Amino acid sequence: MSSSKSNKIVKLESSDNKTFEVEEAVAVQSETLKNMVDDGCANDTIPLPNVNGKILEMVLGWCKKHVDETVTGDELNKYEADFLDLDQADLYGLLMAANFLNVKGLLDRVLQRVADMIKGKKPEEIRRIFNIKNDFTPEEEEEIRLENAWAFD
Amino acid sequence: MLKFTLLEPSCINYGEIEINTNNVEVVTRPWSNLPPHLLSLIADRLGIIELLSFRGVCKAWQAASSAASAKIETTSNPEPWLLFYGEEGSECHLYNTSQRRYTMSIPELEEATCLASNQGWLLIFKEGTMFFCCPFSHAKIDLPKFPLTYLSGHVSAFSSPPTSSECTVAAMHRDHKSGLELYVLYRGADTWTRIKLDSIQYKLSALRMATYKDEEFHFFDKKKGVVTFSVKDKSCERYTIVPEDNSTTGKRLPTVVCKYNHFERSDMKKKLGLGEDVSISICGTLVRNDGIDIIVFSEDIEADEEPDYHLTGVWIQPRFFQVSSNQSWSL
Repeated sequence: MSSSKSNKIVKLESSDNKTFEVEEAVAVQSETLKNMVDDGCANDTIPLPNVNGKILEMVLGWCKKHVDETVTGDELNKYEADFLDLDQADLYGLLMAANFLNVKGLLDRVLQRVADMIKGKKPEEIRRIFNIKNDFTPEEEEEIRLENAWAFD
Repeated sequence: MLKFTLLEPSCINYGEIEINTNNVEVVTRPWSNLPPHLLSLIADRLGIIELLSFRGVCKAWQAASSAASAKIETTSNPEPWLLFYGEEGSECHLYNTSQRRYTMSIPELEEATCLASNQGWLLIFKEGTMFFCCPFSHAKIDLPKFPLTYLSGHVSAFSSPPTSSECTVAAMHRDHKSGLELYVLYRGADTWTRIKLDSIQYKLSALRMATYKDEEFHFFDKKKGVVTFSVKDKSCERYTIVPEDNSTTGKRLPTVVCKYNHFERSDMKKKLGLGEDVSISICGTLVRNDGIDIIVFSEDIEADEEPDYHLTGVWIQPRFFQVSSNQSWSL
């Protein structure tokens, strides 16, 4: 039985046991949730052990904004830009959640944000920003340095 | 030391905890543990300089980006870079689209001639051998032995990336003894096919440029002559380029934009700070801009003053093609 404009509510529970209720139209911005709804698995609360409350709230906020027909194109652009102004820890959470929940527009934007954070940065700076350990051996490091010397003089 | 993975309630995922005998230290390094497919999606959005940075961050990032080739460089800014080679051994000078200069060592171009350039790949002739090279990644694909040890009065082109199964290479060569000859190499073939062209039937003045489009190679001379070679029919035809008007009954060449003197018209000598005593020969390329193909013709720019200092260059799209070590010309 299809329900295109139903007022059905979808209930979600985050990894830290926070519950969220959203309209189906909002929830199905997530392909993952849409598949559950279509398969009839969305009648009870859907547990999301991979997504914590803070991040899930953000993702649902995004989804709500994108089904709101009163929002103009400009407003949406500004919303998206502000939305992504996050520290790297939240950005990581958002990336994993957008991927798991398969919210297409959101995943694209987060990926682009990460790519933009990498622009103009050398490897050491990128490691600092993203708290990554350099696990190359000194020999590998030297090989990379020689290969890339032209770009980073 | 004990090490185990924990799902912490207040952060998303995958923290690594190292416990030593005295205290507990939480060490979270989620970004290096990002799923490889997400890392590769990020790498796909990077231009060439950023991609090199990305690959230097850590092993996981390097492994995840092995298929990335800075494709965005050709889609976001179709203008090619300019690469000068052959001056001092393997040292080459590179200029991006804002004329910012880079210096790079490209051993593949030492004592070599660049025959053709297309979407980031160069066709190189060096000491009697021919090969494809991506100078930014140093990817190299050797070709079967070319029948001649030298090329004169020549132009060459290739149809597609050498990693594609349909790549065909064509080189036209002319000398006073053998006249006009066409050498064609099909992907997977281990020998070149030689086609002798009768110099009267296929009368061409000095050769200027070769290109490929719609399953045909086009060889342009410096006047208005064009010889086409159909890859399917394996046959040649000769045409004269005429101004387009409604009464033209001749064959229509595929619509392209031709930039005959791109270097000169862009005032590049001045922009690059090159003196009037410099003469330059530049191998042209094909630029793809929004579905329109632009042929940037090979150019020979003369020096206005003596002494004549000569530079050899090539227009090239900056791409970072990574090929596996067992990638070869055979299929």
